Amino acid sequence: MSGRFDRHFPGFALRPTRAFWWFLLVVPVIGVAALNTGNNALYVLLSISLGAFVASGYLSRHTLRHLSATVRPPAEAFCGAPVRLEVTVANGSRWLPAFGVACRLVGLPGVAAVPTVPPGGRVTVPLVTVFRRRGRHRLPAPRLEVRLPLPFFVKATRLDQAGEALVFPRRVVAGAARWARLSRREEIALGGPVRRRGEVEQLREFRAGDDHRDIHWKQTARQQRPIVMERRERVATSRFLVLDRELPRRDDARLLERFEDLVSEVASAALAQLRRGQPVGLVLGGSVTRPGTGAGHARLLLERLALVDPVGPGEDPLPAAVGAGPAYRLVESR
Amino acid sequence: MSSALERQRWVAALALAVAVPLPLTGIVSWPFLLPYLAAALAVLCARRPRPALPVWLENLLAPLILVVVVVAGGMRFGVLRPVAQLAVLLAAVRLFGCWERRRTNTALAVVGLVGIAGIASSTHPALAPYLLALLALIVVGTGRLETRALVEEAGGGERPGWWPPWRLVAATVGVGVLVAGVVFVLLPRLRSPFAVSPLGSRPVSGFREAIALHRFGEIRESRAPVLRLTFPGREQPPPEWLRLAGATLQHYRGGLWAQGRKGAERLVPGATGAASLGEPSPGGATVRAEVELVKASDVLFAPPGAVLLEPPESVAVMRERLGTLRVPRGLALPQRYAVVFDPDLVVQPPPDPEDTRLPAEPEAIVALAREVTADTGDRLAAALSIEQHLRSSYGYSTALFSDLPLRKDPVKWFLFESREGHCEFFAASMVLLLRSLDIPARMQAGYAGAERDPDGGFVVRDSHAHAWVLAWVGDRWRVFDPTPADGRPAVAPGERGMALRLGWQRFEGWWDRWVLTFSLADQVGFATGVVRLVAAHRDTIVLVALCAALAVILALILVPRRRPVGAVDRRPADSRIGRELRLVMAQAAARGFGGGAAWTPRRFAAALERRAPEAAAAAAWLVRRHEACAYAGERAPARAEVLAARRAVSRALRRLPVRPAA
Repeated sequence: MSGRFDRHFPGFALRPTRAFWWFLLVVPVIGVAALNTGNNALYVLLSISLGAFVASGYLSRHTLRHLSATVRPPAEAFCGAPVRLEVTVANGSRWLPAFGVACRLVGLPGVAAVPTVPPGGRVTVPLVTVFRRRGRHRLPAPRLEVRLPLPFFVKATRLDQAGEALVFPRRVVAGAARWARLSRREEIALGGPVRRRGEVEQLREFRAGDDHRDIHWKQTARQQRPIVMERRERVATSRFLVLDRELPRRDDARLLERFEDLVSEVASAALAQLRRGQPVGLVLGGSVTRPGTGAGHARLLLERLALVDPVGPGEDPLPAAVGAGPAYRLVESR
Repeated sequence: MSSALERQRWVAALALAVAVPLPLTGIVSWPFLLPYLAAALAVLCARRPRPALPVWLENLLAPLILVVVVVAGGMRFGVLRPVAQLAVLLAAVRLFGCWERRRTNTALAVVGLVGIAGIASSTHPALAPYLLALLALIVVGTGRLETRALVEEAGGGERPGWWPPWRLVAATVGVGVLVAGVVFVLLPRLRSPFAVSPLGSRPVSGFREAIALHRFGEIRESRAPVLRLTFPGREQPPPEWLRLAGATLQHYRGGLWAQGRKGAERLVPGATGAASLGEPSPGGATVRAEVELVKASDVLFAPPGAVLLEPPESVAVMRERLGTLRVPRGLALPQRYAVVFDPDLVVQPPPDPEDTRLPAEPEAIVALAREVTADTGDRLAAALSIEQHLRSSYGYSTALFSDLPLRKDPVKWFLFESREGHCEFFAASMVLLLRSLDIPARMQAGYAGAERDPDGGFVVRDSHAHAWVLAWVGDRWRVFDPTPADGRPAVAPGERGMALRLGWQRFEGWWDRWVLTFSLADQVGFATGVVRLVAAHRDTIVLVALCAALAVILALILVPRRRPVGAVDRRPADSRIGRELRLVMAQAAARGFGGGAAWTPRRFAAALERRAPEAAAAAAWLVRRHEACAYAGERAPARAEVLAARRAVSRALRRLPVRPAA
């Protein structure tokens, strides 16, 4: 029975309202008056009151049982910024419209008032909420609340959602960005694939790690060994944002909080730079994202920053090329 | 319209709605009701939220209200009346400012008290539709205010709420009534039922076989049908034939009329099926009347001159000493019987000393009787003089005699002080006036007059209840009726729409019988009936129950379960595999690697590949299948496969050393 109930009402919650406590106070008084006087009009009133209570309970339960909801994940969501989700509420009842339904997201602020959902119909409502943490989350479960036709109780059910939402770091107004300017050689030394832009500077023999797209096929065929082209960049240096993932201690809440601030600063600086149309690269611990521009690159950087985690000392050191340069890092204060 | 203004209007509308029964039941008089109605209307029609009265003014009005209620009678006439008066005056004060959240609840509480008082004092069957309408109003108002609050919480500003769909309102009222019917029948009754009259006294409706004048409340003229009467072969029967006696009252003690010494014999029908009640007058013509009793009674009504009774089938009829025809209580209705009567005859035992007994200190009554009859020696002339005197010098009224002193004889009070009353006062007064002249007299109670029905018969209602006088004049009993013409029931012609009216009146009768007077005896009778029914048809009931159970089982098996239109599956698509994956990820987190907001299944699989290569394949399979189910809508793999993969990963995780958190 319990399993069946849980299947129909997952995460069921029942909260009495003030009207219920008034009802609980008044109905026994009417009952005692009816019992004491034998006045059948009072019995009629008592019966109607109890009948309305039962009817309200039955109908709200029926409504809740036949409601379902799906959340459409947002196109992009930044931590701490209002984001508009779309919730589709469907009423599976064949005869009773759902009325006065409130839709909330479990663990998140915001509520949507759902207008009347006709029998067998569905309604899509916007729900503005705020994600408190960056990262990949399961889609928030909508919590549907029904309190009508008579508001004695707020009955709620939680409808878990499949799917995930990626929340980008918080956007902040930070001070001057700490840019790491790397020469091309340093960039190559970081281990990232060489960009194919620029003029060909020289030809040389293929070495492990070279991009196959840089192979000069004619010379390779002619010399019977792999030959690659080395190109010269028009821009001598690239602008990188470097975030050191290593914390002095991993279990320090203040450090973790500060690390989140660093991630937000890096993301905000990257977005500001990209908005000006200038290329930005990203170094997160040992992994490097080469500089680039455009919406796709911005999304790539934001996804990486959304998923970055702090690590302990020595677990993911920065490449030597940027280790001593300007970087976003936490150091132990003395 | 702002939400505060809308809340104010709904509270005021509710206040007006609950006040509907008050003027009809009379529980609250107009001087109390008018301030309440004025306040409710003022609040309802206001274009902006009405502020609350100043605190000093409320504090001043509170004791004033209390004083007014006490001056108006206080608890003298019961509890309900002063409570209702107090509630309406308090509500008139509290309705101002009811839009403020802290005052809304108290305003609603006082208005609710007004409503309870109004309903508790209602006896009319219109209470039923009224309650349904009130419930619908509450559902609509609540829905409107709740959705408005919800819209505001959701950031909708001052946008109005939504109106509840009619289907929801109808369903609430319908289901509520169905449940209420069952609850009403089952609620325990420990006291005898009664309907409250406006001032708390017992109302009177219809025939009574014992009359207590000094406890006489207001007459409630119920129009519930009591019986139907036909005179076969007589198209235009004279009105005198429509006098049906139920009880003859002989003893008078301190305002109480009773039948006196008991003594009953069972009537035994003869070969013709009729039992003799008396001998017709020599040469007198007899008339046959057929009666259909439709209201529960333990008395059969018959004309005073009834000489033959064809009793209801299979019913034992006892005839008491003064002619009352008593039948067992709780007979199934309707009961049909026939009476043959002599219109010129009154069948009663001859007078005895009790018929001339007077109350204590009868001097004033004797003096009045002598004055009215001018000391005439003719008994018939004396009786007619008294009858005429009462008809012409006293007024008829069914109003409540609230100022009737408890220690004073009601008849003397009627004759010398109030000089107005209803038929029982007139009949009782004439009996005592006649007795003061040594003329034997009795009071008879029953029904007089009727209403024609479309079938050519007559309908006798509660409102035709009447009392009259039997006087021993000229060596026989004769009927006198001292009640003025406006209080004497007469024959009313049938009207257009009679069938509709009859239907409504039948409903009134049903309401009287099954709602207002529904009692513990009815509950016991109902339960007994059910037990008997079950006992009598046990085999049939078992068979029907078995068939029903079989039908339900077959329906559950055969009828395919369809998902309702528009419904969305509540279970996430990855429920099984996702659950297993979350389990192993939590296990990994417990062993010190992974966890956190950015810890995704793919990262978990990658990390496991580095640290436990033997489980990498299983983990990767789990992740791939999870993503395929969750995002590509593919079918979930078999449960056994999922469990095997999960166990492989779990085993590998258990072998890993626990990594410290920092």
